[in-house]
Amino acid sequence: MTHIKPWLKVATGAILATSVAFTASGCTTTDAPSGDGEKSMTYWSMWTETEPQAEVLKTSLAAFEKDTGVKVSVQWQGRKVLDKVTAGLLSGDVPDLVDQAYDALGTALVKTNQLEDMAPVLKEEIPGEDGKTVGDVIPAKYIDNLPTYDGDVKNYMVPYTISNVSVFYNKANKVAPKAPKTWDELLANCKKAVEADMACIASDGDATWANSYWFDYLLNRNGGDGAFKKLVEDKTGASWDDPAVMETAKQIQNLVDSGYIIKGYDASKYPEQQNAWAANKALYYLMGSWAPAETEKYAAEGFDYGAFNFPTTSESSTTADDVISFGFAVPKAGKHTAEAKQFIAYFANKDRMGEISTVADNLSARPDVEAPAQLADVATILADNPSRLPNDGVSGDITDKGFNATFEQLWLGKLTAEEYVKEAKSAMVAYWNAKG
Amino acid sequence: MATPALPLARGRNTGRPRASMSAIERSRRRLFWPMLLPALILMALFYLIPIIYAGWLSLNEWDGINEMTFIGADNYVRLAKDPVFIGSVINTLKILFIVGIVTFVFAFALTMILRDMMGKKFVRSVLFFPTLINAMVFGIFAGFLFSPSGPVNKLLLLVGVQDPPKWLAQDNLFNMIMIVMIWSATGYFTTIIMSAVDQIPAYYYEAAGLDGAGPWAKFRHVTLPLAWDVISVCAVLWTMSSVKVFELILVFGGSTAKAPPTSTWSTALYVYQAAFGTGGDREFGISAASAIVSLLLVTVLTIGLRRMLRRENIEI
Repeated sequence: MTHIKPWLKVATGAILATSVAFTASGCTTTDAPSGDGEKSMTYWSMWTETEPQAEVLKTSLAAFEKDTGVKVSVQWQGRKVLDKVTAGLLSGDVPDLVDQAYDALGTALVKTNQLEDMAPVLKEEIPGEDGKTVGDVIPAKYIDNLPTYDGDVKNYMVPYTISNVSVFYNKANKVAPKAPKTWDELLANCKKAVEADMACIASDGDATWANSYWFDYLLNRNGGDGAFKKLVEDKTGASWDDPAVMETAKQIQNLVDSGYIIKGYDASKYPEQQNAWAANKALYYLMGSWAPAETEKYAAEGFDYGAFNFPTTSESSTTADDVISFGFAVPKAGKHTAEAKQFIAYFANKDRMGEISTVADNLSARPDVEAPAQLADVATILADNPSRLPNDGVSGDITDKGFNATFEQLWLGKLTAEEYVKEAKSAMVAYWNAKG
Repeated sequence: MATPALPLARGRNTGRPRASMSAIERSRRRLFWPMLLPALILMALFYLIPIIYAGWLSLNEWDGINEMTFIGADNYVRLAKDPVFIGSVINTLKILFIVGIVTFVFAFALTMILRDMMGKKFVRSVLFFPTLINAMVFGIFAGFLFSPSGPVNKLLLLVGVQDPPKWLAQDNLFNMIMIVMIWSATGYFTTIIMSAVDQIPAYYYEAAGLDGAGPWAKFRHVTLPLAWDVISVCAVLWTMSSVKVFELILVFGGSTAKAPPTSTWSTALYVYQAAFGTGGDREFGISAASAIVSLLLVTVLTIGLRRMLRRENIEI
């Protein structure tokens, strides 16, 4: 047996102790250094570095640095950027500029009062545009209907790109080339599609978030603006007795019963049926305006992307369309908020924001920028109709934990309209009961 | 970790020093704290303190940014009233018991077959293979394999099945998740149990064979008792890992960054959704409370299982 030398024991102990100390102190972060007197700002982006949107921003950021002398340090964080910002708020490591969709900003930073008021930025002049202000070029309807999430600030975001939800179709289709304006016209086209041995509506059974757009829009047309919000936020469940809700449920059941939804939708995983739609297997697809970009490689030859606003169900129906805006926000805790706001105004310039359309193939928040060809119809829908928010902007887990499970049953044909209304009502009451 | 204590170390380091202690024992004793302390510090830092903090957090309402508000046991009351949480607990128990029992039955059956099989080393490697693959890969591939026009249904069509099952229908989703779990866990536990079975001297089986024992009797009277300690450790390992099942459900049931249907949630997924869910509500209090409930669940089940499976050591 070898004898362990005392020095070896001491050395072992020291090595172990040092390793622990290193492990414990391993993760410290430091701010990017900024020289004395040099202006700087940090931007954490919702895009990843290789995305075309990042290319657009890179170009403008470089020009901004050159024109203003403000040094910009960027982190291309991706869609989870706000999780990092939330964590950064606790450690004091906060960017001066962030971007995301209004709803992501809302629940993470607006509700907790972490964002600066952007109202003054809307009054800022845009460099290179002869006195035009940011508020002059970005329509107020994209900003005015943003929910405040019980926070103090109303204008917490300056949108630079817009998505919407509308019904997409192939304009070159032979079955029903004319876009329907009313629900009855849509059903008539569905009938034609089925007779031509084609599905009418594409849907992936697991994408309840997308399938519920049908319910949300129909209820909006039947019950008016705010009907969805009223329905799911009613803790007593009484709103479920509204005849507009039953009518909506019956319209959905009719789609299912008539076999208008693509075969196999109840057992498919998103985006399988989305791709099937692009391959001309179904006539219509209710989806966000990212659908053309996502389906491009699966599209049948000669597929001509078109879109129409969700049909009305009666003469008094609203024609509001779902707008999802993505934009810049400035955390209060940032150290260079003035520079961040300066960049927002700088980016609002038509040439710079226009690249969102010309380079990234998205819709820019400026209506005077020409839309990419695939989204030309969407741009028209946005221009011609009042704006609303998908699901009336309800936030949090209301849909995930309260609404979705029963709606899924209706959409998949497992519940009739009557059964659905009854079960959904009790599910929402149970949800609110647990919310306390 | 519930590994059997080494005989040499048993009872040594906690007793008072004895005059008759040998030099080796004395040096061992001196090394006791230097060797233990790093692990202890890491344990405290990364396990104990977070658990205590989670316990405190579970009594508060907190959005991750603003001040915490102390609300006592309210979060636990909310959990008890939340049908989604209750469903998550039931799903976790289904994973623990149904997946666990089926996995172990398969593992035992494979052990019985593999012991006398030719090329068993190769077969064992093949069986172990699914363990090496990240569960998320299954989640992603399942969408392709089992889609209505996917390879599985095409194959079934070839053999004459006109109306194949709706594999990915919402009703089947959780069952599919359980099947994938069984598939990936069986190889892992078979490998561990087989390594214990390899230690059993062949003459026990020969003697049993001479007494007229068939494969089942050999398994029942030789393999099972002699591999019992390893099996009970496997059972504990399974209990702990089943409560943590998370990523498979997230990928299998979720679609493009959206939450999977609540009917497939496990408690681990509930914890995640409450804190970082797609809805954006950051309810760290509820999240911590559900994590504490999961911890209690696994503790009670592990202790219960250990007691149930405890028995005297058998010398081979």
